[in-house]
Amino acid sequence: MLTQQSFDVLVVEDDQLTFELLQRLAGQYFPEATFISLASPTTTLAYLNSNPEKRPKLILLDIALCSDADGFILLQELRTHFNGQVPIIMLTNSENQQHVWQSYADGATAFTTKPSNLQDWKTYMDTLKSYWYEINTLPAS
Amino acid sequence: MKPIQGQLHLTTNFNNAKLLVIESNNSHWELIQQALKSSLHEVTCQHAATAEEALRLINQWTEQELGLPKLIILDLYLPHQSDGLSLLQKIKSKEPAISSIPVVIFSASGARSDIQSAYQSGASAYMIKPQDAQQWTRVFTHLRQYWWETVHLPNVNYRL
Repeated sequence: MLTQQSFDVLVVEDDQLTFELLQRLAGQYFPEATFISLASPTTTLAYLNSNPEKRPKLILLDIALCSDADGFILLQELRTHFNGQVPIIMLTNSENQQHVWQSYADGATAFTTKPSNLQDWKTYMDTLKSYWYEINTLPAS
Repeated sequence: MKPIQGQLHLTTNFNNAKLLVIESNNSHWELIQQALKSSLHEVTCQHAATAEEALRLINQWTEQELGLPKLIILDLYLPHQSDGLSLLQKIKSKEPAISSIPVVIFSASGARSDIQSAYQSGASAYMIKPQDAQQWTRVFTHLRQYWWETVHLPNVNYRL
């Protein structure tokens, strides 16, 4: 899907190093996208309230933010806030089946785990672009 | 054999993997079958040509507590847009074992309202149907790369 609109990706992630890595890889493999860092549920909600007209194209959401599982609470709020129009992709260290299960039950679009080496991160970014930006069609902003 | 760290999802996704394809258009179903053969041959595919048939299969798998698909591909125009949307809403209002299964919409329509209502009704993704066989294969290669090789699909038989 080629478009002239900006392709904003919200990254709800408390680990700054992970965000920096994502942003660096995006510069190389997904330059069409703008990655926006939100480090906690509070900053995420504040961002949504102060930018009510702005709708991102994708959300990458970690499960463990300020506490162990507050990503799940935020997941439901994001789902309701955007009325299903923005895919929410879990990006977490967990491979726990219970977390996978709960994410889908609470409305996540997809559950993915953080790659364990740089090569796999590159593939992750490359796939994110080819699937969500090139092959799939998202609602118009 | 213990899976390598970070590769666990591959083992889980491909284990007893089933795909449900709900497609009313016969020539598209032919093209999908060809694309599946070259891009997703490890996965068992079940076809339903109507919403009734799809619901019957889903109910049967639910009762048997066995054999639910890990991904659903749904033709939006089944043959009417309202048929596809209403089926999608029915799937998404079922118990979590069913409503958690990602539904990828396939449609010839790129109409803004179709795309919006599909996502609003719980679609995970929306693919515009390609024009030729080669493009269908390309789309299924990406479908494999994302849903089967990157994502942890819900383990639908985990908590029925």
